[in-house]
Amino acid sequence: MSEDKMTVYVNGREVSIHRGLKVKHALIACDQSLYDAAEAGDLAVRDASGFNVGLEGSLHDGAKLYTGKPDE
Amino acid sequence: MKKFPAVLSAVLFFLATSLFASLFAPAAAETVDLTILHINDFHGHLMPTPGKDGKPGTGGMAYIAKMVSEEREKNPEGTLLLSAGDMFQGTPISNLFRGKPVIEAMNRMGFDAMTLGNHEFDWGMDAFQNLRKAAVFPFLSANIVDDKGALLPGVKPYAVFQKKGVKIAVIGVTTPETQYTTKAGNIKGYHVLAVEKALPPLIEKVKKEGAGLVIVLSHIGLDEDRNMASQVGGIDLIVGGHSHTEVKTTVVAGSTIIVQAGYYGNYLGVLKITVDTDAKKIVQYPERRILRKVKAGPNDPFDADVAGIIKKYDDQIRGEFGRVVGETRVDLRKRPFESNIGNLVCDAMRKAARSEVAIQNNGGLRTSIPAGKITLEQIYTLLPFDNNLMTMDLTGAQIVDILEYNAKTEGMLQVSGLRVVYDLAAPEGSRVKELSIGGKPVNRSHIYRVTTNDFLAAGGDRFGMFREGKNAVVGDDIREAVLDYLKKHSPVSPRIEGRIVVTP
Repeated sequence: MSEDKMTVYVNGREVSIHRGLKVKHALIACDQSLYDAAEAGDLAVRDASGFNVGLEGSLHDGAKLYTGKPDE
Repeated sequence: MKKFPAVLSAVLFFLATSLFASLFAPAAAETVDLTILHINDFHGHLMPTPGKDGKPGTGGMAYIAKMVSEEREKNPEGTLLLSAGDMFQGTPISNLFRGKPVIEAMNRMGFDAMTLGNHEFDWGMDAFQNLRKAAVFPFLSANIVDDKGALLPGVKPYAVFQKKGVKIAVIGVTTPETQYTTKAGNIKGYHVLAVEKALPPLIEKVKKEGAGLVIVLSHIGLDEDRNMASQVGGIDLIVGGHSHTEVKTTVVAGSTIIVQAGYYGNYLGVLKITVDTDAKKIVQYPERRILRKVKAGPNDPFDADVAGIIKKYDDQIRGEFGRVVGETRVDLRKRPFESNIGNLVCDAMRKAARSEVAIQNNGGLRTSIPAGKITLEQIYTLLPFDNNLMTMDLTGAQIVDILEYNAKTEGMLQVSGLRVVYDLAAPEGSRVKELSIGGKPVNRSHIYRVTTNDFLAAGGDRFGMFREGKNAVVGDDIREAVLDYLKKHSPVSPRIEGRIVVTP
């Protein structure tokens, strides 16, 4: 992977995005409908530890994101 | 000789041995209870975020302030209030006044320290320094330095607080991503050191100066905080930000505790720790209930003074939105393929980024503007999304691919710096009949500097070709680029001039 790109994983799917881009961009790159649902509050995005992360959250090379039902 | 009764003898023997034991046994550990309150990635969210489906809102600085006061009352001598950065940029009320309302609220709330996030530089160095000077608490960052190793003017590497007899060192660190996630030039002359290089000498220094507790106030993201804890010894606690993570159960990496309180002030981090003052370490901490939801319902208490600060600025927004920011001699209208409003926005993007080509999606342009004076509100309505410029290298062939896909979308893109002629009757993939960039026929192997927005740069609207670009850098908010263009060029009269020609 070149230095100006990051590889991140959304629900296990590998996507390549420009460095400095955020959680929302990884969703858009993977499947824009995931971003639309997360933006509407119908999906939560979690990191590899299961913590909720915001759509504007930072990413790093190798980051893993998972989408799921929001917490009650 | 009078003899002691047996019971009395036993009591005296017990007292004597107890006294002996207390004199010669090791002293019991001296501990103090401290409360660390924290927020991060607030991004100007002074007002509560409305709840979904009629549920009460969350966040809002006046509600946070009330919770902070209540926590301070429980531990008045042992509480610290910290911010892990990215406090200002992100909402109209904060952006329009360049973060001033946030600083006023933070001063009123008695923040003890704040670390610098990458977005602290979004409005340039002058705006950043204005905020720094307005703050009555220290701005911290130990790893933004110039070529001689000097820190930013007025910024401290760390601050020391004395709480219940414990000397607490709070060291600030900022993400190295700052170099490419803020507009080039905003931190001109400075670079961001890796934390594993910047921290060890500082930790050694503060410990020599008697620090009983070392806190790193970090804006590098949770996973990077974990790496930092494993690579740098001597950190007791990391209060983090940048990844917008709701760390609801305490993260422990080696002997370092890591916390982070989500984003936008939806949570207040409340970490209650017990510190052994002799061993100089945290001996007790909670594993859960370390984030408190900031509830902003009609019956939830709020701080009236902070609410007053917010109201003062909110009352001014109407006037600010009505401010004239430019003028157009023609109606600015959006339409598929080329439009004059698209030409205006793309010209502004290209000028701001000093690139050869600019490309913007029609979906990001949300209104038309009639001829006459243009207000700030009209620009916010035209460009409601918080999109940033992204400028990257693309080959001529990649630009052709983008424009071919544009033909499939029936004209979603607006452009500047290029001229394209389409034959929509031609088969898919061969509809671009002519393409010139900068007035010259496109060279398919030549690399062009192309500006777009972050949505398209991520492959939005299926324009995945932008993800193939190289050397991408983040620029200004697109609104800022358009405002700057209008300021310099008004009155404007953009027209449809044959940038995108559709045949037959």
